[in-house]
Amino acid sequence: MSNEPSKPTDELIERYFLDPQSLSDAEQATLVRALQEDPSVRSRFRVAAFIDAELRFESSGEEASPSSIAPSSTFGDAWPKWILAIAASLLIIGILGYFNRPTGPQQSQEPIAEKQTPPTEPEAVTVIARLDVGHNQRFEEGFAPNGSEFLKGEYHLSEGEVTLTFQNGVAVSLESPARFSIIDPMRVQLDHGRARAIVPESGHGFVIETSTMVIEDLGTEFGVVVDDEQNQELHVFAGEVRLHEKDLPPELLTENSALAWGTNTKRRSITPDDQAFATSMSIGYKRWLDHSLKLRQDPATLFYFDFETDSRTSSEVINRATTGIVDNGQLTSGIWATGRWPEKGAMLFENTGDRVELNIPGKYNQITIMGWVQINRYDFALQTVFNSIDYSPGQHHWNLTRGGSLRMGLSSQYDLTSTETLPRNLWTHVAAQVDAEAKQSVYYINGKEVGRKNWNQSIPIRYGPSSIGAWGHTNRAGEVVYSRDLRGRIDEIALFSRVLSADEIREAYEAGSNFQ
Amino acid sequence: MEKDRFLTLFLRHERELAAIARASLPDWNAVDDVLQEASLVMWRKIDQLQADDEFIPWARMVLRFEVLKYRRSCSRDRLLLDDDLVALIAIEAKDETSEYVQEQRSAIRACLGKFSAEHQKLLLAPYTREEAVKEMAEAAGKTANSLYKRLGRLRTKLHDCVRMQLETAS
Repeated sequence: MSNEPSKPTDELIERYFLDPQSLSDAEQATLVRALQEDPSVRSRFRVAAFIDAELRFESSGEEASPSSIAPSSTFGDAWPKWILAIAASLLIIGILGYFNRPTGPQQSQEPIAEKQTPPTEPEAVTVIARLDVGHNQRFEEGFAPNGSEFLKGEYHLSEGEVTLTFQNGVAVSLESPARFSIIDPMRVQLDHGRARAIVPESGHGFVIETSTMVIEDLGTEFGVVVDDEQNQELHVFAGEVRLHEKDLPPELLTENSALAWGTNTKRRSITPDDQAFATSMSIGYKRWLDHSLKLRQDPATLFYFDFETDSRTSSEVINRATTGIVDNGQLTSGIWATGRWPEKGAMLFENTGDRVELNIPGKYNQITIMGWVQINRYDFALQTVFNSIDYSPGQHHWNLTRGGSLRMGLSSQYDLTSTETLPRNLWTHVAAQVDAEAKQSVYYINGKEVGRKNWNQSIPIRYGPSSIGAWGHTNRAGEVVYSRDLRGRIDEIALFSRVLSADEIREAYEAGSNFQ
Repeated sequence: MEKDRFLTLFLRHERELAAIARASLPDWNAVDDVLQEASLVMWRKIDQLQADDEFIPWARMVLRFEVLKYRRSCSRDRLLLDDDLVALIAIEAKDETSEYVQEQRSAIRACLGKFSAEHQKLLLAPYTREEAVKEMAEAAGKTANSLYKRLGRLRTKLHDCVRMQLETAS
């Protein structure tokens, strides 16, 4: 058994790996002798070589995963040259396609790209990204996507906002006016406009480049601005990016930092502004809001509750419908809460008897009811979404069973239970058309039909005193008591005195569904 | 084995191969040259292999041969350690399993994380640019020599931490 290496030998080993020339002749001789004589010194030497190799990889911004398939860095000095040698040899053999796997961790742009012969344009027909969500978007003719498909090429967004989702999961949101080019699945060039990239694991190494810089993602969320005078900004919201500026060494920028460049001024640090860049969520909210304003103004809208309030203690729930047929709702109990978007209000029904009471006068030949709900728990055999007090002939009830099925009925006509169920804790769109003329009812979950019922008698539909949340019925003593408590949130619910078409219902679902 | 399997296997084991080469060669330029040559040899001959787990012992063998070839082409004064000693160091390494390699790597990451941001920066500086340590010394108002000494001490500390971590794990 050998002794532990002495301290000086440890230091000699480190200095050997740092700079062997710094060892004097005597020190060299000491190190060599120790290595020859003592296996534990040799073992230490091997570990030191291993650490040296790891530190070198670490310094190039490498991912630590031992099973990582390729180095995450795209750029010259960070690529060990043996990798380039392999790439070159593969090129000669003509199978560089291996490097260009779209889902691969990294496409190499340089110097491998320099040697790449132009492909026979297979990308010309390959969809690289798709439109995830848009708001009032308009593209210039000749610079527009093919429907929702974005191929390699240049795009000019003249109005509105869009979010593109790439094959590798990268989401890029752009605001007009914007001119950008999709170069490949890992690279977008921004000539003008405002872009935000949200890059998941699968998209590490994703690049946005401008005329003067290349921003390489290292697992992050970042925003880039290029204005019409080519003033530029880079904001890092999460994670890290590697910034390559012309004639400067690469530089790491970390979370909550931002830089600005003027055309004729030096670059400066600025405050990162998360709110200044659109996301698919913020675009989704605007899209929903536009659609919501249309619904409120529909002449058939009896009530439209968006559960927005200026005061979280208010007991009045504003009916946004412009028809004025139904008064505001009265909140007996319930909690003003957050809806599908952070800026959107909702009503949280959590305690016994939580409900909004309202009165709906009149009789109707047709109605549509539609809204967005998020159910937390199913505590009872039935829980109410929206019901009239009691259940006289012609009254429509809309409940949920313990298993999450829609349980609907038109008093004296039918009961219907959907086989499709509402998931817990997920915002879900629900809708119903009840048509007394056609004697037919159709129910929908997330824009898809889940139940249909034909009935016999032409009976007018009516509501009177009703509630969103717990259901009230008159007991033998003549008092209204409440049960069927709801445990969840509603952030939009509307009643129309007409049948909305299946397309209109699907449109409402789609307009409200970009909330994550 | 299909040619297109090569790159995956090579890149999976490249750090381990780089470390092996580093133990036998005087500097990183030499390691890069040798790995470049070795990778081309491996790529040409990959069809000799039947299965993935044959790769690393075979790659070590190819690498060792390329290391020897390189050392022979080197001037003697560049090589501080002679061929026999290098061979001795390499022979004793061959029992190190891939699990051990993984453990070493995890230990290095864990230990590196224990250093302050400034010390981590200094530990990585010699690999970023030639002048990086000198620049750091200038920025801190110190001599490059004193910073190299501190770097040497930090590396010894890192090494000790890694060994301790490995002993605790085993």
